[in-house]
Amino acid sequence: MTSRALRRWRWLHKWSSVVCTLFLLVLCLTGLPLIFSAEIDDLLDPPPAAPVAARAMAAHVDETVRQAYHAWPGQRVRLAVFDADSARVVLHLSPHADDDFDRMHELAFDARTGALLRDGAPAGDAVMDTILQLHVRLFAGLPGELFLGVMGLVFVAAIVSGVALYAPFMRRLRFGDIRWRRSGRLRWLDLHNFLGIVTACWVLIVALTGFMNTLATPLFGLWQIRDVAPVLRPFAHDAPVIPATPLSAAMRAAEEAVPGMTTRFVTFPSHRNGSPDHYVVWTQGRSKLLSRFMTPVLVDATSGRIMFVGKMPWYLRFLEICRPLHFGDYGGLGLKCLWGVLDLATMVVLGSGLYLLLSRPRHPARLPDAGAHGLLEEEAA
Amino acid sequence: MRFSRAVWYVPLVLALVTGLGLVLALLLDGPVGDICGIVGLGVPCGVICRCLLRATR
Repeated sequence: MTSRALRRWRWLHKWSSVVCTLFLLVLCLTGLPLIFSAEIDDLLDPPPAAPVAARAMAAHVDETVRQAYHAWPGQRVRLAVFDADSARVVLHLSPHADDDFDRMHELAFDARTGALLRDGAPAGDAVMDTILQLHVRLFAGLPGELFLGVMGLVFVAAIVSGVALYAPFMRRLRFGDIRWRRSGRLRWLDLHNFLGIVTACWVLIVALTGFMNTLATPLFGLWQIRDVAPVLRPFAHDAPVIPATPLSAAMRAAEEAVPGMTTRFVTFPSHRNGSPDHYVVWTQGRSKLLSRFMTPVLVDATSGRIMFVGKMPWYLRFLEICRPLHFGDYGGLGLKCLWGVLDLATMVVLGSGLYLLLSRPRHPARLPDAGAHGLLEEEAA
Repeated sequence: MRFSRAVWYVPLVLALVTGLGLVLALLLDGPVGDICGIVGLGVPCGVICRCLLRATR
């Protein structure tokens, strides 16, 4: 590497890190509890029973809908979520069919018996939701999401430039050497380089998949405009119907239309993210990978006939593959714990980078060699 | 400025193990996939622990 190239990499690493470090620290900090969100949810709201088979989830679903209408007369069921792992059916209701999602409240039922477990959000839900909102969009809606996407790309530049700088800084050290007995700055420099290179691949994967996740809203919007809107156009001016077809029948019809898939959640007739005349049954595959691939099926809420099976475009399939690689929720608790350890290691890399930047000598011109290799010479001293 | 290629051997192996482990964990169902994921991230975590312990001793 020439001196000029080294200078350029250092410039890129310094400024890309300056731009994104504080935001990345927020993301790492908020990401830590989110890794264990399923475990935290189970702790705050223990599941009623052991997991049930996905097919058994529909057994009492019509009864749960009846109970919801009885408990909240005049309200509309908007969304039914099926969680086979915790044997729960969660229904979301709102006063009107087209209300905002933040006006909905939820009721949870035991999937095996149809018994009401709770009316309202579980304890601690608001805390986890606040953490999620901060992590995903910095409380700033879509602009916040896209801003974090840009920060993700800047972070990728910081990682790549950091990897490029690894060799010059490690030329006189064995892999993993940390000079604890030297100055604090050298100690943190070694720790920064060591943890940075060990976690580089994981961090790069999480950063790139995080960037993809920030594009979820625009990509789903693009798909809705290009592929879904033409199908729903004839129904655009209809008022949302009250379904005559039972939910269980709609689920059965959808699962027959897409063999090998099971229902994950269903949106009831509405203009918001759905159709005023149809259930939208979102199905997923059964294997670990295919369970990430969602296929929506439109079922007529009056006749129960299949109206449309959505074919997801490649960019949404790619997004669906990226999600588990960002969340780390596909390999059990062991993988989540290791994900958490690497998240902590990344925080140390970010913090040490900040320390190295702030602890730079104020008058570099007085150093023996303040040129392109100033830090290298200091490191070698 | 020239650097020995040896400086890249361990980081490359670590990156390969991490990337392969995470992808196989996603592709393979059951405990085999879970183990791949744990190996993929367990190796870098183990290296961190070992080197930090060695350095502080």
